[in-house]
Amino acid sequence: MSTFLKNARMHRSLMIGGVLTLLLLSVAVLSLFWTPWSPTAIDIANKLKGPSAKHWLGTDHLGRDVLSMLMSGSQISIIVGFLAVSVGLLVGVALGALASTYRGWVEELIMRMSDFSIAFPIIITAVLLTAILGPGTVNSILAIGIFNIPIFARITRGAANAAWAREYVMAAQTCGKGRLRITIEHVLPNISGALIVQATILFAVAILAEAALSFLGLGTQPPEPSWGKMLNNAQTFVGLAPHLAIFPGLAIALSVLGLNLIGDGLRDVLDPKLARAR
Amino acid sequence: MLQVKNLNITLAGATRDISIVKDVSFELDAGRSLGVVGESGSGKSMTALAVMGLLPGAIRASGSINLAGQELLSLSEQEMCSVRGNKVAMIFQEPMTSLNPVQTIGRQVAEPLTLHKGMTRAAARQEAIRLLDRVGIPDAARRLDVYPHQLSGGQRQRVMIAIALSCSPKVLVADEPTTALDVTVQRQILDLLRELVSETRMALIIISHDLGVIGEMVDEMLVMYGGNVVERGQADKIFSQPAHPYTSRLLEAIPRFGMSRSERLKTIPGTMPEIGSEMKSCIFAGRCDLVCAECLQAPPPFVSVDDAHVAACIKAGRVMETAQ
Amino acid sequence: MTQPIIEISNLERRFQLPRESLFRPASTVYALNGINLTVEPQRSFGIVGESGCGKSTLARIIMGLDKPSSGTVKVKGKDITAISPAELREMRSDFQMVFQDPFGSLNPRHHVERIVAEPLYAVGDAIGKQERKEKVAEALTSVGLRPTDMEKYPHEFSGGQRQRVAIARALITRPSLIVADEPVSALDVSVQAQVLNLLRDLEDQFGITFVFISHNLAVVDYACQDAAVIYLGRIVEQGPTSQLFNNPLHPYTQSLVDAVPHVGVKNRRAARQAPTALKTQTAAQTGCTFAGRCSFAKERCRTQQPTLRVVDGGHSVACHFFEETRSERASMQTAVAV
Repeated sequence: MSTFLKNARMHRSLMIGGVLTLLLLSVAVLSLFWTPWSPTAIDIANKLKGPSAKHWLGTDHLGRDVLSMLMSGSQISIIVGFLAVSVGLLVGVALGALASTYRGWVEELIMRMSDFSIAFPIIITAVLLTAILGPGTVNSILAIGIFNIPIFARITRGAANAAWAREYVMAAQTCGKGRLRITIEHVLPNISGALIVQATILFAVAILAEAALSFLGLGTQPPEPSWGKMLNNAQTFVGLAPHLAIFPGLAIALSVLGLNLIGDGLRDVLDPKLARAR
Repeated sequence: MLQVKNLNITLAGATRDISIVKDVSFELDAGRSLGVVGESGSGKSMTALAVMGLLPGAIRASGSINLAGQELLSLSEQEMCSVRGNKVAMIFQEPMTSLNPVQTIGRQVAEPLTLHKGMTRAAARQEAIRLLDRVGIPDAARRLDVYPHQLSGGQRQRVMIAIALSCSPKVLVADEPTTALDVTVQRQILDLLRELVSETRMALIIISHDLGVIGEMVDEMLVMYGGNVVERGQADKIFSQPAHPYTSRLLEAIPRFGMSRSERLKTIPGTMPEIGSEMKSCIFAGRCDLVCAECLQAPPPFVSVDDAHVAACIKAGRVMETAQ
Repeated sequence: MTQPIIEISNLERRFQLPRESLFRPASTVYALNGINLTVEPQRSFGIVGESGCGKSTLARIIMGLDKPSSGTVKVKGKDITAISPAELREMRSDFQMVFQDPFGSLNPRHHVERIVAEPLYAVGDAIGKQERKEKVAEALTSVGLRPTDMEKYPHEFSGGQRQRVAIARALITRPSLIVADEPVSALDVSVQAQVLNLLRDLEDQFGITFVFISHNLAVVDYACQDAAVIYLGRIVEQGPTSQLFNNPLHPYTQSLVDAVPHVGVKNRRAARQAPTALKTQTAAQTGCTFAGRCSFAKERCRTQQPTLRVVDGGHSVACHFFEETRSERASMQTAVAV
C-alpha cells in the first residue's frame, strides 16, 4: 500500500485528477448542508445578473443563484455516475467473467449480445430507454448503466482470457479447482486494476451522459437542479447572460477531466509491470 | 581496433548514483571474437549496449570506447547514429521483437543500405538479395516480400544478421543471439556467425549466459559478475584452467553428458549481490569457499596468472591448481 | 513387476486450425501422433524435443489439463481421460506440476502460504488452519526456504527462490509424480544447478518420480534415468539416458546431441546435418516424419512410417536404417578423433 501511495504521489496527472475529483466530491458533500442560497429560491427581480458579491456566479432567468444550483447539481452528477457505473460494473463483470470462465457457446452468446448493444451510441440507447421508461433520474441511471454493461463485459472478458493463459491459473487447475472458483480466486483479483481504470473513465462518461440527457429533457426533472438542465435553460439567454452556459459547462468539463486523469494515472500506477520492477 | 578502457556505467538515482558496471576494459582486433559471459544482473548486456551507444534514459557511461581511432563516448547522438548500423551493428536475443512486424524483410534489410550507403532503392534491393542469400535464406529473391511472422525463428535471426551485415560493420555485437532458438538451429546460426567473422574480418562480441556457446565461438572472453569483470583472457585457457573461483564454480555447475548417477552438480551457494550495492570487499566473497580476511578488506586487484590472462582474485594461483 | 506410474498408449492430440477460407475444410495439426510410453516408479523420465514438437501438450495431457483426441493415459493404473472430474480431483493430490516461468506460475497477489497450500484443496477441507501452516512450513523447509517466508509475496523472491516456492507447492500433498515442464530453463546456471540438485534430493527423500520436460539434453541426462525424444509429435527414440545420449541411434537424436555446444570444442566440424526448419505437421503423412531433414533418407523412408523397434534393453528407435546410421556415426567419430 505504501509503495502504491509513493507511486501515486510521483504521478502528476493522477495528482491533478485526484485534486479535481476531490473538489467535486467535497462540493457535493458541502451542498448537502450548505449552499449560499437555496438552489430553488426564485427571485425574479434579480434575474440574469452577472457574477457579483451577492451572487458569486450570477443568477439565471428565474433569479436563482447559479453557484448554489451548480453545487447541488453536483450531487445528481455523482449519484448518477456512481450508480450507473455500479450497475455496469456488477452486471458487466459478471457476464464477462462468465464468458471467459466457460468459453464455448456461453462466450459466443454473451459477446454477440454485447456487440449488438455496443453498436448503438450511448445517447441513442439512453433516449430509447427513457422514451420507453419515461424521463427521470432513476431511468437515466438505468439507461447509462445498461450502456456500461457491454463495455465492462468486453474488458473483463479480454483481460480474463489473458489471465487464463497464465501459469498460476494452470497451477490452480492442476489442484483440481473448478473454473468458477479459479475465476474468483485468481482471475478477477488480477484484472481488478484494468477494471478500476475503466470504472473511473466510465464515471466521467456517465456524468457527461447525464448532463446530455438532462439537456434533452430526458434526465433529471425540474425543480431538481442538474448541470445539463442548466445548460439547456442557458441556451435561450446565451447572448444575454453567457455565464449561464459557461459555469455549468466548466463544471462538467473539469469533473470529466479530473476523472479521466485519475483513470490514466491509475492505469500507469496499477500496471503490474511497474509492480514487478519494484 | 576496438578499445574499451575503464568503462563505468551508472544509473543516476534520486539520492545517489547506482553503479551498474565497474571498470571494464578490453581490446578487440579485426577478425577476432570476444565472449562476455555472466548470469543475469552481471552487467554483460549493459556493456554491449554501451558499445552501441544505446544505453537507456538515465544510464550514463564514462571511460573510453575507442573504435578505430574514434572515441564513441564523446559523440553526439546524431554522430552516433551514423556509426551505429554502419560501423558497429547489433543482433538481439528475440528476432521476432527486433524486426518490424509490418514491414517486409526486404525493406528492412535494404533500409540501412539506402540510409548509410546512399544506395538507390533498386541497388539496395539487389544487395539485400545478396545478403539474404549469404546468411542462408533459401530462395532469397522471392523471400524479400515476406513479413517476419512468415519466417521461422532461425530464419528471422538470419534476417537480423543480414541487416547487421548490410553496411559491413567493423564490430558486430550479438546479445544472446541463440538463446531463443532450438539447439539444431542454434548450431546453424553459430556456424554462420563464425564463417562471417573469418570471411569479413569483422570483430565479434558475443554475449551469452551459455558457457558452451561462448566456449565454442570466441578467442578471448570476459567473465562478469555483479557488474565487475572477474576474469579475462584467452577462452581455451580460462575453460581449461579458470583462475577465478566464480568461473571455476560456474563451470562445475553445468550438467555434462555422461555424469554418473551418484555424481552431483557443484553449486554456488547464495545469490549475486544486488546491482549497485557498495562493496568494500571482493564482490564474490559472500559465496566463495576460499574467502579469507584479506578478501573482506578491499576489492582484489587483477592478478596476472598467464600471458594476457588476469583474474580479480588474490588466490588466483590456488584456484588454478585445484582446477587442474 | 511393479505397476507403472504412467502408461500412455496410442495417444493422439489433434488441433483444428482456423479456416483459411470458407470453402476449404479447416486443416488439422497433429500435435501428438501415436505416443506410447511407460514411466516406471522411481525412474524419472525425460521428454526431449525442440519447440513445437508437442512435448508441452503431452505434459498438459498427463496433468489432465487437456484432453487427448484418442488413446489412453493411465496414471497409477487409472485412465485419467475416462474418469469423472470428481475422481480426477481426488487423484490430483498424487500428481503435481512445476512450470517453466517462476514469475508467471505464482499468483502475484497471493502470499506464499496461500500459494503453497493451494493443492491441499484437492485433499479436501478437513485440514485446520494450524495444520495447514505446519504443512506449508514443512514443504518450504524441504525445498531450502525458511518457514517465515510464507508471509512474503512472490515479488520479494529471486527467480531461483520462486522456483523453490513452486516446487514446495507441488510437494505439499506428497505426490508420487511431479511433471516438470522446463523447470530450470529460465534460471541462471548457478541457480539451475541448485534446483537440479534439489529435485534429485526430493526424488531420493520422498520417492517422487519426475516427468521432466526439457529442450536441454544435458539437463535431462543429469536429472533422469529414462528419456524419450519427440519429433513432430512422434517418439523417435527412447531408452535409458545413459544409452540414449552416449549412443544415439536415430539421426534426429544424433543431430540434437551433436548440436549441443560444448566448452572447449572450438572450431570442430560443422554439424553433419543441415536440417531445415521444423514444420508443423498438418496431415497424417505417410513415411517417416524426419525423412525431409534426414541425410540417410531412402525411398522406403518416404513411403513407410517406421515404428519403434527395440534395439537392446530398454533402448528402442523408430528408424528403418538405424544400423547404418550407427556405423556411419561411429566411423565419423573415429575420423574426428584421428
